[in-house]
Amino acid sequence: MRACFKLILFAIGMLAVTVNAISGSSNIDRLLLTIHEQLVQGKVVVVYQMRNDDKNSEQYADWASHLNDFATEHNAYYQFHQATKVVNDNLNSQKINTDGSYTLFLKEGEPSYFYPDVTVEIMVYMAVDHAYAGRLSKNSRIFLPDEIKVRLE
Amino acid sequence: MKNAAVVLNNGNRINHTPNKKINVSVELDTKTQGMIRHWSQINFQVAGDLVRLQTDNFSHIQLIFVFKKIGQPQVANTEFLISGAAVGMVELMNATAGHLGLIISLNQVFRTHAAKVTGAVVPPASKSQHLIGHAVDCNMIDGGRWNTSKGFRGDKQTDAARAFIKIMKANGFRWGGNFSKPDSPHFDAQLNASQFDYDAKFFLNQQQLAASEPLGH
Repeated sequence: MRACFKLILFAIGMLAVTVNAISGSSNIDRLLLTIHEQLVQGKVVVVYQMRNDDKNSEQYADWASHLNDFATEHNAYYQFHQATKVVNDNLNSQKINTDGSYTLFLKEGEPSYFYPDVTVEIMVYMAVDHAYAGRLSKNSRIFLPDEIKVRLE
Repeated sequence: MKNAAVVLNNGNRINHTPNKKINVSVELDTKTQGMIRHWSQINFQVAGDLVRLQTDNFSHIQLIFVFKKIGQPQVANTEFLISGAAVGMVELMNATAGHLGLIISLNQVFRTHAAKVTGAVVPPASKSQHLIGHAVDCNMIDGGRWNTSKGFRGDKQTDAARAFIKIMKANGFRWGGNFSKPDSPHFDAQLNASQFDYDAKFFLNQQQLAASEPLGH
């Protein structure tokens, strides 16, 4: 009887932990869920982190211009997301310094590419696009970011 | 109305009447509006100083294949726009590149400004030397080797690229690789963005394109 009671208590405890975990993750992992869905849909997901709040800097101006230019012309296949703490915490790669600016390209079943800053050359986006399309030229390869192994948990 | 062009201290040319009926994609602040009104009242005609430069006229400058065309009928595919006050920078780039055996591949020069860009991911910058035609983004090609941002990050630029940057800086131009937030493709002939000269040129040069006003060359 006592053993049965303990078992029931244990089960209730486990249930509470599980419910907590689910309700917590459903709140904080919305972006992760969206990214996973977009990857399953075959989209290229670009996660970026801009650690420069000075919108009057030339770096910001160049970055924003190239990013917007590329995004408006490739909006059918590319999804862009600003990194959040949750995303950073769930990036399973030791090569990514989440304290600084970065640009990460993800595509299901394809290599991931990591640029350790914001990109101020539109050719970086073009190179990744060419790589995923299987038509990477010699000139495009020059701008291709490093391939990394990364998983979004 | 006087038709003779007037050259301001900052290199701006004033030679047309402002057309206030034209919708432009830039904001005209009170101070700038007041100054333009003043110029108009004293019978000056004001306009931007954008000019078209033909890449064929530069032996060591080319446009990269993704160079964003301005989309203005006056501007040919082999041309780019820049402020008349920054033409000297481009000429120096060409001459220096020739001396050092480099090719300068332009990525972007003058940039149009829109308050809202459809499909934009982030807000566009409201101030930049590109918005007045004073900046150039480029890669230096040294033989078959491209000097890219990635290369500069790893301090792997070629000797000729280092020499090129040194010469440009010695002649008073800024290189973005020296900025606190590095931007290695960027060179500019800086016009202080916190002063009136910048605001006036921003308005006039953006309007010059938006209103299809004549572009010199």
